[in-house]
Amino acid sequence: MAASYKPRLRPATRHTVRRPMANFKRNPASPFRHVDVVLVACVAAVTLFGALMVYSTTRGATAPYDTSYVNRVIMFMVIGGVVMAGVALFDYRKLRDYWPFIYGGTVLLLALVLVPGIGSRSKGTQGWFQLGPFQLQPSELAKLGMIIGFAGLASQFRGDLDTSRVAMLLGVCAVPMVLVLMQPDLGTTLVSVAVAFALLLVAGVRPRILGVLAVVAVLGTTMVLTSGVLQQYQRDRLATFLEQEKSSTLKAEQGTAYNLTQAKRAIGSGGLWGKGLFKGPQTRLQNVPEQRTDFIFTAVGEQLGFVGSGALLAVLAAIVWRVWRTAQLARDDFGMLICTGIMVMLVIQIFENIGMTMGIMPITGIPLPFLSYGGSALLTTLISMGLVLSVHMRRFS
Amino acid sequence: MSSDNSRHRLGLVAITALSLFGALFARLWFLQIVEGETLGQQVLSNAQRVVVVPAPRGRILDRNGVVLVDNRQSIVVAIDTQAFGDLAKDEQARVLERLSTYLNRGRPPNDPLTVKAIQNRLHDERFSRFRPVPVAEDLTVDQEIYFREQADRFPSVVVERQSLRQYPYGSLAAHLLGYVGSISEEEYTRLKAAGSPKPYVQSDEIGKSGVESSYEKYLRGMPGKRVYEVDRSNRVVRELGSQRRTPKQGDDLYLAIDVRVQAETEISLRQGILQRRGEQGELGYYPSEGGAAAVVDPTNGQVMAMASYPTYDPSTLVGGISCPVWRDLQGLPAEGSCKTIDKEIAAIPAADRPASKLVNRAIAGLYPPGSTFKLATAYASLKLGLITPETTIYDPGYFLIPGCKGTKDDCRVSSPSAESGGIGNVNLNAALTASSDTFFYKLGNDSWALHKQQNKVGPTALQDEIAKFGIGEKTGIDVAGEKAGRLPDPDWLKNFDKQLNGKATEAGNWQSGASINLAIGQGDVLVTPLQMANAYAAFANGGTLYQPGVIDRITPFNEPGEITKSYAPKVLHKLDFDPVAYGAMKDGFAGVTQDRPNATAKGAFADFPQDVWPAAGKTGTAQSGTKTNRREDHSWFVGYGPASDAAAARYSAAVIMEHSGQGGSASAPAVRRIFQTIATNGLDAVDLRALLDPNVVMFTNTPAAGAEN
Repeated sequence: MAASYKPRLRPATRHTVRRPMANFKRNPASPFRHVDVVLVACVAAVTLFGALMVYSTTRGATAPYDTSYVNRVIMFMVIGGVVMAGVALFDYRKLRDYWPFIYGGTVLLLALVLVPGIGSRSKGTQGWFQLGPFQLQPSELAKLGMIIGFAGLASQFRGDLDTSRVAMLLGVCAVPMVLVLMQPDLGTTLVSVAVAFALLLVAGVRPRILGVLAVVAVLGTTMVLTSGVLQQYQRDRLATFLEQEKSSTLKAEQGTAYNLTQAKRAIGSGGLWGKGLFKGPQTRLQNVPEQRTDFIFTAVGEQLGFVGSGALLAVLAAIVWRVWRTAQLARDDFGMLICTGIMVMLVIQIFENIGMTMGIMPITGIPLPFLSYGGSALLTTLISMGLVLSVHMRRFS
Repeated sequence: MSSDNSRHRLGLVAITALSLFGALFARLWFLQIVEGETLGQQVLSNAQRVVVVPAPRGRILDRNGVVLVDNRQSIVVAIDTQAFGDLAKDEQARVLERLSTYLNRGRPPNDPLTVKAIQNRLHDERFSRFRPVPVAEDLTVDQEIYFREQADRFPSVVVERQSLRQYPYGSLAAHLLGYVGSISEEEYTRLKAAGSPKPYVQSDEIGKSGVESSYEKYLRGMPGKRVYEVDRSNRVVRELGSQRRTPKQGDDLYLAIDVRVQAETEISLRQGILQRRGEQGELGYYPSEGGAAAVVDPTNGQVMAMASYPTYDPSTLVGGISCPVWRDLQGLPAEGSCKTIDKEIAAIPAADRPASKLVNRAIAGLYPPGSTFKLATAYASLKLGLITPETTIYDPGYFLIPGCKGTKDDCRVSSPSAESGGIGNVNLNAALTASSDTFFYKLGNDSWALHKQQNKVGPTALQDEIAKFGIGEKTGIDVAGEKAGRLPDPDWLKNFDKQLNGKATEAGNWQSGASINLAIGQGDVLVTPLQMANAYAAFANGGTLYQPGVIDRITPFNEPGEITKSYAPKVLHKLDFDPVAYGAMKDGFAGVTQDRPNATAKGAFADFPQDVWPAAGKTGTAQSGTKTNRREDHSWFVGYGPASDAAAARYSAAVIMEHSGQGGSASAPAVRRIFQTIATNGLDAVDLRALLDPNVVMFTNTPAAGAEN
């Protein structure tokens, strides 16, 4: 059974020594022969589309149109593209040796951001470094740091996971999670919980331990929700989610219920074909708060309808599928775990973000990968895509 | 190997991811395809605001196109609440302070426009958030220019021009025209429920009386609208030009009245009353508190003129009524409170109650008709067969009730001619000319005897015939506030007695005395001046009682050729005259204004150009007050002309002056004056401007000796 999951092709050249770059055309195992073109195309398409959507939400209702936001997005796209290419060229296996530094670096950033004066506060969350005109959000990078740290440690254990090793893996996950929760950034923490759970599952932790962990996770979540860690606005968001029908009639048009109502109206009013690019009244009149960031999907839904937003979902699903496929094809556990972590991170963020705009998930401040306006998030996503590409390219080398 | 196990477990992750994406697709389908339409509707109402642009009311003109009610532009200072809300708090305060200071320079010192008052306006819910809220009306052009020049000192302040009612002829036809005022909560709710095609908003004006009220649906303009797209702070993003609808001014209402006849009627009425106040009757100077006149076209029932005195200038009611003005309109002294005004009036004994200037006495004033009623009695008596045109009765100046068992005084009813020993033998013709009460007393008595003793007819036989002149029922004129009057009969008396005494008493039994009183238009019968003018119009045209109407035609604004509705005569009753009897009555009414023995208006109509424009009519001197509280009689005259034959009659006029003595002395001269102006083609010379000064005295040949007021 398990054999069917093995790579179908075991080329004879598998153990050949790496050859100089100039000869790669003649080397079937050369990384450059195995670039995942589908993934690159999908990522490029969806990122450009994101820039277009950010423009549609920020250009304003009348000429002259505001291009300052889209300019920044394009700048981040260019930077992110270069970084992604760089990461892809970089052999991910070297990270197996460096992972403690990467992991330690992100944990250090997470700790520093909590120090008043070094980190900045915005909307009740202590989660930014102000670097000149730019803001760095370490919690975005920390997700990746956690994945690399987990993969690095787990691959050293080679699937032999006793209780103390599981505890170590848990510790690797718990440190950044707790630091992020202290900001407090509930959304990112919950994404990290899901990623960690998936990593533990795939790393081979026994089902019984996983069951116990699941119970602990549920209890822990309940504790977090009921203790004083949550801010009032976070409670409101949850309440709004749980009482959608009630809140949309009783305290309609105000607070978090207003967000959700307007978001659902925007998406729903798109209908099958949408109102047309730049034409949606909800978008143009800026009725949906935070539309260029967390609620970017409402712009897609309103302007391009079921056809457009469905197509976007399909492309996002295609990216997820390519990442999952890369995890399958990876030639080592380290690559597989990295890809699994990245895939789950993507899936959870997509589901939570789009789900909240449509009222099937509570509202949390999680950006939509590739599309939401925000440099750190885009950079993190593109770096992770670079890692996946790197794993994919080197599955035979 | 753990790797295989891991890849196996990756399948679980894939299934989870797949189901999450599936959930997103399903939800997307539900929102956009299943609920898309509903949510789309919510977006529209969410994103659009409709602003109603009020339309000017229609004009009111006379039959010849003379404009009686127009609109004028008023310069209004208003505050754009949205722009105002954007100002900083201290800037807001400064703007209001400056506004108040500047506007107060042009206002009387005792009525300053305080900052507080402006703030109250801004928070008044009657004003739409999307239209600037008016702060002060009727600015001068200089003030307007000032605000335009100093715009930077008055951020959020706008100067607009607003349409207000204007009355070029002041009080002319005020009661007929009526006035407009702010729509009341009750009116708004009612009209909203009725679903008017010209929807109302709560800041609208609406016709409150007269034709302004009864023709509201034509006069009201079609409001325009502008649709704006707004963002979530209700700030206007842009206007949806395709949905803009420009307001349309209301219809032009051409009244049946001729402004010259109207003016002549009003001047004659006012002049007669003012003159009468300077003359002495049996009880001192005539009080002559008020009066009314109605002129009807006998050919179709159109109202040619309608006047009520005292009157008012409707322009004083434009843009809200102040307390002193309101008190004055009620006839009260200007000083005093307006909150307890109803109690204040109720506390005054009925007889001394001030004459309200707002009441249209021509349709809402109820008076005993006196001898003018003999038209109806004569017709009824002929129909009942009580008399023929030749029947002669001896008039000794009194009438003894046959079969009366009381004392001599109780059984003897006097005529005004009693002192001179009566007027001798009279037939119908002479009885009308000389207004023989005895003749009609007998008819009243005989009509009741026909039922009571001979049992030939029902108890209301007399009333049934009289009612054909429209007595006791509303004419149905198209002006609000009309009263029906009263035509008493045995049933009415029974009920009235029960109400008055709490139980049926002897006084509730109809007896011959009641019929005798009714026959001469006394007792409990009450009529409006319009009813009398209309009754004589029916006689003048040979027997058709039309429903009176004040409209000639209605056209869209400024398009005289496009008549959308024109006057259609409506017949209320048909009278059936025997030609011989009709001739006798006609001659009797013609004699009233001629030099015949005992003719009651021969003095008033002396030297009237009867040859070119024969005038006929009937005086009335209606007793008012009681035996213990005597008051001067009401003075009536109802006339018509040209009276040569039924087809010739064009005008039927009724004039009453309250407590002004004999019909021939007070009201007949007023009718004569109206008729003479018409007869001698003097209408074009009527000085409409004379109406603008309510105190001008125009009868210079008759000195108002010893006049007190």
